[in-house]
Amino acid sequence: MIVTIKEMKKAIIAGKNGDAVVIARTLINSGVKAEKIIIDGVTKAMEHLDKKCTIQKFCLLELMLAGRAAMDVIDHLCAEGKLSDDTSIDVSPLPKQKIILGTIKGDIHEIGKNIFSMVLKSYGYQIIDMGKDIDPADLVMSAIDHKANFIAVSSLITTTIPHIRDIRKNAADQGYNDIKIIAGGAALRQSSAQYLNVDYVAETVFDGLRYIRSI
Amino acid sequence: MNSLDRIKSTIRFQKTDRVPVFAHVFGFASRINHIPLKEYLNSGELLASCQLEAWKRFGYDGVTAFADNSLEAEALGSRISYPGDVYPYIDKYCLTNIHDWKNLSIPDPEKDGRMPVIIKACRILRENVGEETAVVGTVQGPMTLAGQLLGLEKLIYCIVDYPHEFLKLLNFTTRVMVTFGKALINAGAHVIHVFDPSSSCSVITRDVFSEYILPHLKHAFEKYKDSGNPICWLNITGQIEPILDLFPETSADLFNIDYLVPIATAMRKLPRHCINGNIKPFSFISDEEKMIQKKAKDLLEATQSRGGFILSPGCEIPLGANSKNIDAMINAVER
Repeated sequence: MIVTIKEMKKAIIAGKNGDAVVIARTLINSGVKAEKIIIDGVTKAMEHLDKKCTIQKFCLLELMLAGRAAMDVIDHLCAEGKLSDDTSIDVSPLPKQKIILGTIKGDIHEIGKNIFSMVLKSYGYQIIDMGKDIDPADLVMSAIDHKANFIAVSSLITTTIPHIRDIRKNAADQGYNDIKIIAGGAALRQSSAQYLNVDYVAETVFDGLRYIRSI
Repeated sequence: MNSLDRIKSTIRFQKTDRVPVFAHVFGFASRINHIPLKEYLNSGELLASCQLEAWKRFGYDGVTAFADNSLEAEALGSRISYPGDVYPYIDKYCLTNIHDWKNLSIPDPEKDGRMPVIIKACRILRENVGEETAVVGTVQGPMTLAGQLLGLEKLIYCIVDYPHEFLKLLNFTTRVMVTFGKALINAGAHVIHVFDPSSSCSVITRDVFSEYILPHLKHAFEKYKDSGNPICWLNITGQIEPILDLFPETSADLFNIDYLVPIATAMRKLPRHCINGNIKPFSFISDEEKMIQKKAKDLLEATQSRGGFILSPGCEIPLGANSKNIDAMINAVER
């Protein structure tokens, strides 16, 4: 059976992770390079979702299923030795950029963060996921340790806002003034970058991605 | 005209002395009474007394017997943690996989978890306000409760991977919401407020809502209507524009509109149903009073000729809100 990268892209968009992996395996066996599968298949699928997922038309279910399919393809390529874990896929303007990711102290909701992580990985960014309930100082220390370019932080609840504001202060105290801070999530997106003392408030995961790519 | 009559008349699109206001003041009632939130959430007497004080302080049209979104899940065995003077969260879900729902039993509202706290609060509120203002009892909707039992991330994958089990879990969570809702009606609630944010199109698609959630909401509201005919209020926060036209099928009387949906769209899609909304909740923290007043006035003007409108925030007043902003919303209504 002849399969194409376009079909794999469609399977990812439809959230059919099993089909996407089978197609990826067939493509590899027929000599297609792993990088091409990522760039023309996985990333293109994410670009399609980017156009679809606005603040008005964002659907967690569709995005999670597509994200799982994309990650399953990437994991399969890694497991087959076609793509090493630290390979930076050259689809971002500044490959090898590192992003510290976390749900801020006082909040344990991780879905939004996890989706952002999946999308960023499918674009070739290096993600250091700190998990949930993370102290602002720990986010900053991790950024310093990894020489990260961005801290991306999320929250579903408004009571965490003082901790969001503390990230910049912590970074300044450490002399780490060049780091860009992005905030997202249901609570934070109602606010402004100025109020939260961050560089950008992302309305959706793709809005956040666009900001990162614009820097 | 008292508050309860005002609300009932508004729902029937009849003339009232003024537009009613539901302020969605829940845990914020503990803040203005200088009571630690955890104490408020664990004592029926305290919760009721704070609700009554807040109602007297602001003068809106309802009091609410509601603790937090994890109340039902806790009664079913999920473990919760209090991270400080804020709402608790679930740190251990009672289900590790969707198939285990069979091991759960319907909780007894008079005995299990903190359900008795809310039943007691509801009784006290009704004893105090009688028929003067609306006593609102809140229950979690079927999708939201299912997410609180299994974890939303796992649940979302189950919709596709195990649709039959997903349906069975919704059958179970609907039985929980019917049982708890009926207990609230028996305790004096005039209004049953079903809160189901995980059913919004920010989370699931219209197809999933239509096939799985809608029949369960309809079933629950029918059961409530058969048990004392309360006002049935559906509150799905987040993006609901793609499913608004399906809402009348639930047979609820009142629909909450969050700030993401323009009020004109809600009026167009629900021409014969009462709606409430939809000032952005965060505005009550960040905005100045004159901005809140303007937003409220704009809503009142937009809905004036139509009727069937209750002024409110799009969702709960945040714990860090400025009281003066709540005053500003209420004062926008001509008295």
